[in-house]
Amino acid sequence: MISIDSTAMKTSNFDLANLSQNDTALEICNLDLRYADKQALFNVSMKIPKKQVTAFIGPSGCGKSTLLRCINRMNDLVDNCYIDGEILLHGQNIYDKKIDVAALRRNVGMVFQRPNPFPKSIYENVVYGLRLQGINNRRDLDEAAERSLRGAAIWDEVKDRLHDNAFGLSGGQQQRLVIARAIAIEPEVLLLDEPTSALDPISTLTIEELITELKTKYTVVIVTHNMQQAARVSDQTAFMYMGELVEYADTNTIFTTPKKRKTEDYITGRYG
Amino acid sequence: MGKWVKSGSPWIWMTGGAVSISLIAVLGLLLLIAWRGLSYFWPADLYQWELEDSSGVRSTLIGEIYDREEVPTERLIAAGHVFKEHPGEFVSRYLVKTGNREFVGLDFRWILATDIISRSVPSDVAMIERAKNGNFYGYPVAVIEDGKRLDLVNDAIESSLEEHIERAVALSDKALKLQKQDIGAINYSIERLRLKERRYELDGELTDSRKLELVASKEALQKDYLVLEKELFTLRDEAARDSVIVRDMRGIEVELKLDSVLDVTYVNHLSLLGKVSHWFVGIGRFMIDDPREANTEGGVFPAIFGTVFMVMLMAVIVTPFGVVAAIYLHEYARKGPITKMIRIAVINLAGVPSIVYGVFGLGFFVYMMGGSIDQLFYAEALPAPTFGSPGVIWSALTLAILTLPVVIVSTEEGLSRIPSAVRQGSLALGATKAETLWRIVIPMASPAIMTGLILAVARAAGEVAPLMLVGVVKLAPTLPLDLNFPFVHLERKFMHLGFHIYDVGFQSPNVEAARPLVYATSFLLVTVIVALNLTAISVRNHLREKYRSLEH
Amino acid sequence: MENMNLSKHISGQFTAELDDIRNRVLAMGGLVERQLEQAIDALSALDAELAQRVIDGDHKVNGMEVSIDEECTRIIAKRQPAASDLRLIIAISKSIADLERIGDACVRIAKAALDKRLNNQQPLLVSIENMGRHATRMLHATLDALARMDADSALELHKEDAKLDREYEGIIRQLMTYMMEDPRSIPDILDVLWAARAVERVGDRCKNICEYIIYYVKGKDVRHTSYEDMEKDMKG
Repeated sequence: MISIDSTAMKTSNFDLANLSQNDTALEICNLDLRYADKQALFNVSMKIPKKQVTAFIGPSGCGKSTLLRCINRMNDLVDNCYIDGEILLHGQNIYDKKIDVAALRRNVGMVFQRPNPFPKSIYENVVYGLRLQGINNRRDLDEAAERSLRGAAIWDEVKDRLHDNAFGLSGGQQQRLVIARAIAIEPEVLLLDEPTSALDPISTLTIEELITELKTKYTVVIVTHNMQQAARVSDQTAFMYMGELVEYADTNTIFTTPKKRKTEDYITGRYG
Repeated sequence: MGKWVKSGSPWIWMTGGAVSISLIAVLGLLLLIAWRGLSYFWPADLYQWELEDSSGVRSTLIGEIYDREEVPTERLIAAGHVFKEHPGEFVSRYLVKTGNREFVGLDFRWILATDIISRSVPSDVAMIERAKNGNFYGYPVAVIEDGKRLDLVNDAIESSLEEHIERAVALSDKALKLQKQDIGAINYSIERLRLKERRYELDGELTDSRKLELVASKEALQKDYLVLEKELFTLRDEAARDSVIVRDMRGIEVELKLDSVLDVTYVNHLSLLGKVSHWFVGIGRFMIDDPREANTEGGVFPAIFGTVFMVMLMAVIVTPFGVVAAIYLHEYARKGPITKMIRIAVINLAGVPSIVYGVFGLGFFVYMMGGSIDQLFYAEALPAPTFGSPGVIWSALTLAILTLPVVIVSTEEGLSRIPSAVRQGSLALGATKAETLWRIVIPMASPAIMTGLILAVARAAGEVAPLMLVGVVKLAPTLPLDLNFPFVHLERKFMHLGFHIYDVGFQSPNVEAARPLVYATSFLLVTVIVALNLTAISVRNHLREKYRSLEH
Repeated sequence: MENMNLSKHISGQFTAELDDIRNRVLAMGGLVERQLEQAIDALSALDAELAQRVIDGDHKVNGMEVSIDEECTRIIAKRQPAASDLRLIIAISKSIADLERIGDACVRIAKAALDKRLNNQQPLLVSIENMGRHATRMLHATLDALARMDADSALELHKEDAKLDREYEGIIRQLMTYMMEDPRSIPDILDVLWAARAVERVGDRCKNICEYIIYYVKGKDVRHTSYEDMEKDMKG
């Protein structure tokens, strides 16, 4: 299963600080985020490269999930949440007043910690996003369903029971279904918020395998508690601590020769 | 002992005991009502007693035993009763239903065991159910067909009588149908014509041509009416053609016209199977017949219909209203002291005594809303109110307000139990909040909504006090649903099982006769509520299965 | 790297395992150092008994290499070390291989000491002894640097190896002169040459160990780089 592939071994050639406009999927500029009584993000700036897997790691409460949720404006749902700074997608600030949040979220999909299929059939789960866009043509939907289920590497397991309730699937299958649901609407960016934390190790490996496949088509940003997972799947790793971006570099560097003491402590298990 | 207390056993016994007592109470209640209610329909044996009272007067009595009690002799003596010999400390006393109301004045009589000389169960005594004046007990001796006495003996009388009664009942039914449906429809049309004319008049549009038109159609209807009326009279005459001669307990032969006779039963020679089938027929009739004799006889169909109709109407009103209110409170309203206060107010609304809702319904719905509707849309009928008087719609609305808190609270509960992950999942796919609510949240909350509805229905179906002010009547001439356009008549008054119980039990002229009916009706009310609840519960369970929550 | 005085792991067991493996490497280093010292002693005094003890002692060194290697494998499998821990394990795993080779070199020197013919080559033995003492000092210093994980002295030692190489070259020249003077002594001299070569290799191994120390501390692989680059890396 594991082949020694020269591309997989190669360290990233990107100079993350000076990423060209063409290679940048997202640019976060001086982002501050405050909740009513405390600040959660301090002046975060980073460029996330296109069609790569970028992982956010850090201890609980370091703001990595918060940062992820800023990217598709899920933090809008939280009361008393104030954001300064910019996140640029195609050179446009997503916090601009003119931005249609629903359209943004169609473009920046998200998968959550626990599998959250809707109480519908597998098929209806996958085409949910398309139906929202008013697509009801049976043939289009069937095609999209098959394409995204294949894309999420679950087609073979569910093709005979597309109209069964999605709750009948195992946790790992549900999570892949949720990923299929997210890619059915063909986003550019896929945000994964600890996608395997509720899954068993084997399901986790399937999802990880899937993530490396997904990056051929999508820009993937993943938050994970599992450092080994970040090491396995990501191309870039950002270490966050107390709301600050401590270190952001290619994954190989972070996991062998991190520059910052805090990063070192965290990934060698000395944090705390 | 101390060890036993520590082991927790007393706690288990106490909690278990509480459950057992509740269970016994519920089962006991149901069993009592069911037994008393259902035994009413069991054909009781008819007895013939030979009596001799203390003054030596002999008499014969035919009837069925309704009740039996032991009376202290002292009390009877104190009441002026004279015994030939002292009968001991207690004397048995029977309550006997004698029927034959038009001849004996009282159709219930107490007889003392000491007065009884003999008691027999004559097999050829019959119970004749009549549309008026209650049952008649006696020995049918002859059938008169079209004025001619048929030459028959014994068993032949029975079969011939049944045959003739069947014919008469068929004719009466036909007449009743004609009267209620066809003639009713014509009357309804004539009334509408009158209202139309009045409306034209009010609007100042009553031109001569219109007048003529109206008169013409009215005349056409009148003509139809006359034809139907004639037909009706013929049918009635036909039904009254035959009669039966019955010898009653006084030994006098009485002629009963068959158009008022509903059924004859030779109770004493019914087999067990016959009794069982008679029992089922009795229950069936009770459920599908209209009431007679100031509700003390006949069935309760209009009350069942009224109850179910009103409850369903209420459910249709309260569900969307309560769900929408709960959604606003839970999803859109900003969390803060005002929302909190509103929520507390809503919960407290459930604690207001129901009669207060009745008063409010009468004042607000009936007089204000109903009055305004009348003035705006039914001016032609004034001063007779249309919506401006109590009616089924106002009852449903009043009960909807009464049960609104229940629906709001349980819907909110359901909404708060939906994992935020699912909502966020929908939002992350580019759904707006409204789309998420409509496509995901409300379907998932539907079991909770159904729970609210179940509680609402259970409360509403049993509520009587407010209804007495806003729409329930002792006897409604028509159902709120019929074949006359617009088919659903929400302004009509209606009958209700709960009110029926109250009316029969406390307001009827013949309390003794009505008591079993009270039980039977109560049992029916419970059954109706249970049936409504079971339906809702099965729907809820189905939904629950469908929208099983995300727990693994 | 701001500071290598890392705090303890959250897992005390892991810290204990790492400490243990480091101690065992130092113990192995100590053993190898003693072997080298005794081998040089044996050669200089042509003490056959001592030489035999050195030869017999080599299996201990081999045994320690195997057991430490196993421990490294176990830690990688169980703890999945990252960053400095990972570099430590890798550095250790590689260092013990070099230590074992030093052990082999000791055996080679000791075998030369068993050769009785060398009695008539005293002057040669003196220069080898000098070189041997130098190599012993270097090994000692390397182990010292390893114990303290001192990158700066590792870099100094790295440079030190050049001196040893020069001494070696001197001995070679001397030996070549002898061989040209008296071709009959060539077989004896070749024995000495082998011993000198072994001592020279000890220096190379020490150099390797120093590179691992720098790799561990600085996270930079300085093998096959020039001193200028190395010094730049050290600062960077």
